[in-house]
Amino acid sequence: MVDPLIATIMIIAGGVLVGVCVHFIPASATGAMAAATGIATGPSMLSAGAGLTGIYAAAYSIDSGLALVIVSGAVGSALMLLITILCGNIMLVFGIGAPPVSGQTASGKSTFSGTKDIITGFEQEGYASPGTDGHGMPFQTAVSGGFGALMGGTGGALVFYAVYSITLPALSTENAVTLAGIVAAGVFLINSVLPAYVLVGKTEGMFDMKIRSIHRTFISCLVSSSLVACVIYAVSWLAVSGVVI
Amino acid sequence: MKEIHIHTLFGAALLSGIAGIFLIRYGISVGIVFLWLPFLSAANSVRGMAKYGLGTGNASIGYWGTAVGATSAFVASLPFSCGSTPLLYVAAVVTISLVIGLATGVLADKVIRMRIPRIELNSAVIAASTALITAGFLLILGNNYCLYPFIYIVITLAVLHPYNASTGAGENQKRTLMLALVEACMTTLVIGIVAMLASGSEMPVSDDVAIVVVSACGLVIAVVAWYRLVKSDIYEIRWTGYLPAEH
Repeated sequence: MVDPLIATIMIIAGGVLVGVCVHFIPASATGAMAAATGIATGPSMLSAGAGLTGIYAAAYSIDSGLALVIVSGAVGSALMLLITILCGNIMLVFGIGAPPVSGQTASGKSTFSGTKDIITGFEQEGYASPGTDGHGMPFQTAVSGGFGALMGGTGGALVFYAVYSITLPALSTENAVTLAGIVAAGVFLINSVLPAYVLVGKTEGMFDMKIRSIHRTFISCLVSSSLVACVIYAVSWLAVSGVVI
Repeated sequence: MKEIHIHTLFGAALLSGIAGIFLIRYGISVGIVFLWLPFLSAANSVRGMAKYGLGTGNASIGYWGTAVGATSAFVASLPFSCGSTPLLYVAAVVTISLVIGLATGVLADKVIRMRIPRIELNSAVIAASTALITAGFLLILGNNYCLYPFIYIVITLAVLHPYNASTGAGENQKRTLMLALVEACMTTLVIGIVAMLASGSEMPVSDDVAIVVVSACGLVIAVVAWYRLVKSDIYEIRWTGYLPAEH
């Protein structure tokens, strides 16, 4: 268990990680029609899904200490996302017949300029179908997604463990786990939707120019998480002190 | 067509929600009907935010707003007991949800710079309305922690779906809110059934049966009224075969 004050800081840090992770996870609503690079759904909902998986994974190792909870959450979340990317690519390649290609890189507008995949060195230009902004998830995009999911899972696990630690003295273990899970999910949903306004429904992860507006997400998630953390700290302090009104 | 103003609807929802919680607290379970208005208020605010074509879907807005509201109600139930001091509990739930909802709305407007008119007001209204609904449902189902995720999801769906289903050419507030009423009745019906199952007694408790009966009656009336609206709104299709006109 951790000190309530440290737990409050963990909630803030977790909330910020959750918000920032959305910038790294490739998602696009028009990806459903193979008209843009990224998993075929909104960035917020995808990040929330990855985060919730992380929280479930973290809950299984709640008795094993903070380090294992964080690792479990991060790995659970990353696994979920990478499996989604793999299945998405399989359907895209064998169902539609389109190769995974980064639209931003193909048009030379990615963060690291050039028209090649930054990791594999595969040429992207010429593979994007005319009229589309890429399709599927090439290697660099998948790596960005995995990195984002690791961050999101870590954030979710941090909030989960922090709320569990704060509320445990006032509740039984089962109830504390359930409450921590739903509160962590709440913090996840609050913070993962805020960046959606910056991303405007589409991002290719860290190779998208939109990563440059990450500071706005950082500030807004820092403020909203601080507010939520203060409320959780205050009410938990009242409950643990026995001031049940 | 003149629309109901957000302030009017939220004011009514706030009073109605508080009245509903007090009635349930003092043993009158059919007071759950007063929680229908907060559903309408929250769905109206989802409409208010989502109709400007934001960078996220209706689903995200519903999940986000309900996350603020439900989390506030869940957390407030730790130190404040609705059983002994209902007024303090309701005040805490409404205050926490309003503050967090308003703050996230202001952040989205000022820091993220998403220029949606009255985004902070709408997010605060969704948060406070869903917080009131959550508080009422918690009273009916008791502090059964296993049901927290269920309560959260069931409210979210009823709040985000009305505008999501009605959106498009010819969408209007009256029909969207009527669909919200249909879903509010459906939600309270499900809550009544779950309360029956969760009570653990062999015979259903009369309070829970009353919730189911009232919700079922409300559902039938709301569905009939909503279907009439749908038919009158699509008369162009029914009589001429043309696409509906842009209103």
